[in-house]
Amino acid sequence: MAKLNTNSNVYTIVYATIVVIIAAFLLAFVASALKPTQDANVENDRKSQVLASLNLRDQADIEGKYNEVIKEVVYLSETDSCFKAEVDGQQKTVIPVKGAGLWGGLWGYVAVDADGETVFGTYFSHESETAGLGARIAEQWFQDSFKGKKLFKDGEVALGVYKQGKAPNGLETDYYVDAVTGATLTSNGVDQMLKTSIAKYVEVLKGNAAPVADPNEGVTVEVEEYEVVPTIDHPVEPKVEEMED
Amino acid sequence: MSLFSKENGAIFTGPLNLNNPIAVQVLGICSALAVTSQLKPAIVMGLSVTVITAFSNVIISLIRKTIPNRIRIIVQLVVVAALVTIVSNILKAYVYDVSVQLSVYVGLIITNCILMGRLEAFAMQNGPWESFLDGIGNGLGYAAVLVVVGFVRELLGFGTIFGLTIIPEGAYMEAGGLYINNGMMTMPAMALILVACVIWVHRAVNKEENK
Repeated sequence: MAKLNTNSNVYTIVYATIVVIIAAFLLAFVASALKPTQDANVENDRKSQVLASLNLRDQADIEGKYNEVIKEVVYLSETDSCFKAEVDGQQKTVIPVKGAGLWGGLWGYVAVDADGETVFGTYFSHESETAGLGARIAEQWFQDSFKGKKLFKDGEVALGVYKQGKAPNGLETDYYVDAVTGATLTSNGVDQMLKTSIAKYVEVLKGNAAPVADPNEGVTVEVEEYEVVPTIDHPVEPKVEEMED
Repeated sequence: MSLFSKENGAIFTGPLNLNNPIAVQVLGICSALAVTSQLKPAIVMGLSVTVITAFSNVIISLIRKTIPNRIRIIVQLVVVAALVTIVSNILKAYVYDVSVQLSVYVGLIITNCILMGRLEAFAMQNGPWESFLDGIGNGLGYAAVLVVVGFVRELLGFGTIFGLTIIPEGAYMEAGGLYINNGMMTMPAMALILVACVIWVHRAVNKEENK
């Protein structure tokens, strides 16, 4: 075999092209082969989060329990939907909440009793809050502290998260939980998230919402691929690392 | 030269101890701090780096004579990036919870100094089998330190190992005991101190060889 000049320009360009094409095909193949399994995992994770808000944590059969408990999905618009659930014969409404913490996104679910006012359970998670501080909102003790709290006062969403002794004057302890120590900004994020997200579902909770039809219904498969189903993903965005608070 | 000759044995065991990528060369520290707050992600990260180092070493070694010198770093990067993306996809499909915990750090394996260092310093000059051993050795050397750090951090920071509670419930302050988890251990800064301790112990034990 004739010795190739591996330093020539033509060889370099052809070589780079071939390497990139091979890599591209390989990646496309792996990504499309594994996509169904990955989507199933994401969906499963979302279901376990909804169940956690209904105080059904660590279920062995997430799929089965979810189908048993969740009775109906109520669509308010293309992007907003909540769930009607039944736990031990009691009606619950599960509201998805979404907001921003100190470093990245926050999300979660709030399950509300049939009276449309009392919190039955919550689940929160986060993208990248500080471990040991803001990340503690994902721990059960914090989420359980919401149990039995009230959502509305004087027609406004009052449920909040405040530093001990820093709640607005005259707000009874029925309407707020204590913030996580050392994580003021994350706690404020949860507070804001609850207020803005729950406000969207006031009518549903009062029982006089006018739900729209399932926007996924009658949509061709082709479009469904791009449909944003209300699932929670874990966006990975490049971000600048800054000092912790 | 046989496959398991003394020289090849040394290629494999060197990075496990006397030429450990973290303890001696002090490479790959960044990810060692980020993923060691619990044992399970630390092990998965260690294994992922091992697999990627080994296979990218083999691939680069196989094509080392054809790589145009001027774009060799780019070719190495393409190979590593492709392998990392594949591993990341596999993690997402089969160990979803771990991939959520590792989050961006799997992608950041691409920038792990150990990989580029081994490709440039070893795989470009040596055959595929030696490169494979070198990759496995370096990956496991890295994983070993991660496991030690992850073990200490999870035990002291959360009171658990692999998520199983080790410290009895009754010992905690909340339950009237005297023990409290060390929140510092969950922070990356403590990982740096623990890595330093590992390096210290390693140097103290291998005093003779280091001279």
